[in-house]
Amino acid sequence: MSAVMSPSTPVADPETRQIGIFDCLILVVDDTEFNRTLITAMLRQAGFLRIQHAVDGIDALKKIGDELPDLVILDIVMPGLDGFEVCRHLRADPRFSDLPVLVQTALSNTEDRNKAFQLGTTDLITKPIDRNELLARVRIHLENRVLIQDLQLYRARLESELGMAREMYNHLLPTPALFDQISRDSGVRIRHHTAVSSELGGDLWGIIPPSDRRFGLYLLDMTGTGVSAALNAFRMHTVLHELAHLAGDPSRFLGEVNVRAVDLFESGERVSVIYGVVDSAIGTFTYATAASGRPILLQCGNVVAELGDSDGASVGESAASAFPAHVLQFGPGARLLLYNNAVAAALPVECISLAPEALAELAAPALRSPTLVEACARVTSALARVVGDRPREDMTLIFLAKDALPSPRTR
Amino acid sequence: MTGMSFASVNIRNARILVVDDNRVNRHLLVAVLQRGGFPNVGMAEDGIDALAKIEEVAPDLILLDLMMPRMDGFEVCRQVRANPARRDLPILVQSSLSSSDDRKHAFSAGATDFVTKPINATELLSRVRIHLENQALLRDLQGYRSRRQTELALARSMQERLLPPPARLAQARADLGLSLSAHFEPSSELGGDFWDLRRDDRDRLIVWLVDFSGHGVGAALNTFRLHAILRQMDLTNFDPAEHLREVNERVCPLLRNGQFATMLVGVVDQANDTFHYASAGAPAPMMWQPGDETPEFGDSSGLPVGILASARYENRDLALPLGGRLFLYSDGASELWTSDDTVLGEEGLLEIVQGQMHHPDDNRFLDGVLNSLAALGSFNDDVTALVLTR
Repeated sequence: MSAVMSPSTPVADPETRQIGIFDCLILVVDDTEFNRTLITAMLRQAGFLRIQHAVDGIDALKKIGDELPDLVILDIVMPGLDGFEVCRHLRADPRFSDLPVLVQTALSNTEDRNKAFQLGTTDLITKPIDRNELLARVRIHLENRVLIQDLQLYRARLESELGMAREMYNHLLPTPALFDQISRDSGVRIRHHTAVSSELGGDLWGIIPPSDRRFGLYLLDMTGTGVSAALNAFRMHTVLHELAHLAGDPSRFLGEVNVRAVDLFESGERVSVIYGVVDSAIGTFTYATAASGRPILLQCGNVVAELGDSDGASVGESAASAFPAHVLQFGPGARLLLYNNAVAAALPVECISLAPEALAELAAPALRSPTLVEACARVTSALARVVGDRPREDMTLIFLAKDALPSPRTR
Repeated sequence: MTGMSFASVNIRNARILVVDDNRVNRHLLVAVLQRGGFPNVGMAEDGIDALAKIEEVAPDLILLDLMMPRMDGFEVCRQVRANPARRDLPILVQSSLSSSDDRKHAFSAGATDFVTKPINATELLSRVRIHLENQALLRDLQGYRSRRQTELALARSMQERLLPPPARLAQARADLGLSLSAHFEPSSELGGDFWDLRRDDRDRLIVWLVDFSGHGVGAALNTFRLHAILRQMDLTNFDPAEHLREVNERVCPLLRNGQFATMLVGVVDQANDTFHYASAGAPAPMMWQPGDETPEFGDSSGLPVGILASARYENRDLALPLGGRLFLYSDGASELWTSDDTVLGEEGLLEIVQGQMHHPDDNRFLDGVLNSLAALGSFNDDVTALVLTR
């Protein structure tokens, strides 16, 4: 019942490392029958089970093309295609670029030795063949090959698994079609900026459309990183959408989300959330927070941005937590900025509680840009200048703009 | 040691330690290496000095002389290899003695490679490059694996916690007078199998067995979503077919095209001596009673969940009188590839169950089935199996 690749210690002990090399396919290329027989006898006696022969260079390339060996022991002087040429051919072909090739040379022949290395040979074996040296070199190269292939296989499998998971994650995010629909229905335009690392993580945002001139927007940030944070983010996504019928009331909605999260999470697992409802008919953003960053709002014509509240405890902490609702005026021309905790954490401030002010100050001039596209670009570049390449976690910024003009269709 | 051309691997900053008791040789080797593009070269003048320098700053490669006063190169090799963290550190041994015995001893003491004195600069640099590139590749791959293993171990423990804890199994056994055992094994770190156990409002036992398409991280993400949905569902007046219909309706909008799950959910109705269940394309449940020679298959046809939001399911019953036993499993068990390259199939699994059904103890029965399966072939999918005895 063991897993395909058991996650044991990174490096197996010398005994177990040898397991597997005796099944490796070794190709002995030599035009002299005596040499082929001699080398084969040495290898067999040491326990190697699969040994093939090639009688010259042409034969070697054909056999390698038919079945990829794990190691080639190659003579240099052969009629037709010599060992140097074989080496050159192999290294020119990406399929064989990492195939270990051991070339047999006389110790005294410096020129041959240098040439062999220049052509990409992996190692040299001194002629006349010494049993101990041959076996030691064959073992070292095969062990290394088995080890590296094993690790490469692991990496390829994981990368494919994580790539698939990343696609699933992208599938959770709102689509441009939804932005267009919201823009048409409520005159609110949405843009987002995500600086993603290649890792899966616990960040997520999305839209819950309760009715046509109102919609809900959430931004959540799980504790932890990697796959386990993603597992929790996925279940939070499920919970949020299962509770969509409560989405019109941010306080109640977050309260219920919290109760479910307390039930689902292990102790210590938390998620910070901001959830708000944009009501474009009356021009408000009604929101509740759970240890999230304070929303940043810039009213039309203002120079200074105002900060919203953030007063709820983390979701998942206690079933008794309450998440009071707050209201920001979000009338024509207003711009709203939401951000995840990684943004606040990356800001160079003495204390994290000062981060929202710092961000509001930094973002306000950029938020005043004529278009939302420009505002988004300017805020993110202003942020990049301050943060540099410090952030290791995904940073998510969400920009909302209520159209300034009466007609929601103009852009 | 393979001659890989990994342009991305930066070996120029590699730290090389030259160990030689002869001052002229030391400086010659350092000069060769520096001219060859390795500026970061350190020196040690004997074995003792070498070990001290290695402790100070671990090198990426050691170029080691064999014959030295105080401590020779063989001993240095042995001592370096004694540290598990230095098992893969390349050690190139150099010696003027080209006797076979020396080479044999050097290799068995742990040398990676051998260069012969007088040093041929081209050969030395080629070997150093090959070993350093290989080492860098190995470190990169090992680093990747160890990071992922830590990450996945955490996720794996989360997935295991989705399953009913032993206390809940024990409670169900004690309260309901049933015995019950289960086995869960993802094919890799994470999997798409999931099973659960709860009581409905009439204190009847409800059992779920779910198998998401695919395996690994993606399938596990889906089991977490399904688990979150199941936790939010109302279990009063429990009706398996209706429950499946509702689960399917809620799961459909979440899944991407091509993702689906087979699922079996049933309630152990002790008052009516039945297992009342519905299935969304799950493997057929097996049921038998004391004295039976072969298990009976229950009908388990039905559209997997996640394919069509309007799908409907059917309630079915299997007789489960006192002493009756129920065996549920994921297709990782029945679709095992046997060593002669065929799929075992439900009939093949039936034969295995027949061989084990006489074990009165649930754990022994399950172990027997799983051992027989393991002897036939290798699991390449997640396996869940559950046996319940009234």
